Amino acid sequence: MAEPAATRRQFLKALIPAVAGLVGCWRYLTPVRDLVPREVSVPAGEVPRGGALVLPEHGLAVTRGREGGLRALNLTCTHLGCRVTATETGFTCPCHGSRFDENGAVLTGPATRALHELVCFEDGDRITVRLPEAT
Amino acid sequence: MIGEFVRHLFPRIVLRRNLRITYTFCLGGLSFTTFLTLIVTGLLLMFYYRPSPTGAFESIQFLESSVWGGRYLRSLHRFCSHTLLVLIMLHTLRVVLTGAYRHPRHGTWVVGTLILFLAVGSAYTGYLLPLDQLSYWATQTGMELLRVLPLGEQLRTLFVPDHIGGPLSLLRFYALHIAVLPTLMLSLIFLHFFRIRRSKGVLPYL
Repeated sequence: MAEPAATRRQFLKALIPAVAGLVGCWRYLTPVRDLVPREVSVPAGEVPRGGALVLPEHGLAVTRGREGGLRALNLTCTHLGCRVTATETGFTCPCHGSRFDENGAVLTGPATRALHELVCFEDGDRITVRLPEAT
Repeated sequence: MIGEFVRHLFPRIVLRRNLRITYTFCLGGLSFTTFLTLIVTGLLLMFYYRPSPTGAFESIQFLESSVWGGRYLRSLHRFCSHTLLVLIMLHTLRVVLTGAYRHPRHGTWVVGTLILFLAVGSAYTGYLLPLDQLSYWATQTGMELLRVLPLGEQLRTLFVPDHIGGPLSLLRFYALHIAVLPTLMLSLIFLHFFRIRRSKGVLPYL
């Protein structure tokens, strides 16, 4: 029988550092923190009383009632997940015509549930909104 | 096969008197090891670094805070860059003190000196990349110094077409740091080794 090119011991000696190196590289290349931001902050002055600020890149709107109540709404329609658009009086879904009022409550179907509200708080002159978990 | 290749790297003939450790102190070999470490750590850092004015500092912070081994790797890269300069300087000093720059090895000396300048250039261009206050002001002063040279103004425009830390200047420093200078250095290092071997020097690894 021909002599093997390398003994088992040599093979294992090469394998162990190779695997350790690969594991190290893998851990290095997978960061611990999510690259997606968890919250977004906007200047409070941009949300008018009785109006809304739409953040299309985050799929949410920050609204302020006539009495000054602050609310952040997820603009994903609760019916089938389309992006609702802001209108004069509230929000309308372009897919199946569901309508919501400025607080996100259903006005007409087919949606049956109100728009999801996100946690938001005003801190000085900035409003911070917690973004929904990515699905 | 790998073993045979490595064996080929070693010279067939070396002079006995060259093998004393006190002759070279391994300074060249140590410099080369440091250089290789810089290449490996630098390649890994490239997976996170973003060469843009808004992204640079942020990417460094991200690397340090959220990446396993990120801070270690960056520190190692920085440490090695300092060490490389120190080792090359000591190596140069050794060559001067032992008279190794003289004929017939003057070619090796010239190539080595070029490598020294390139190493300084590499370290300098890398200095701007984190884009923190230190980088910004160090580059600012360095580029002002460049102005006093003949053709300095043109040189400065070549490196900094917009302003220090601007998108173009950062990109140019980055390109020089990761591609142009290392490639030049590596080619000259091999030329350096080739010349040393031809004059029956000790290689590798002293």
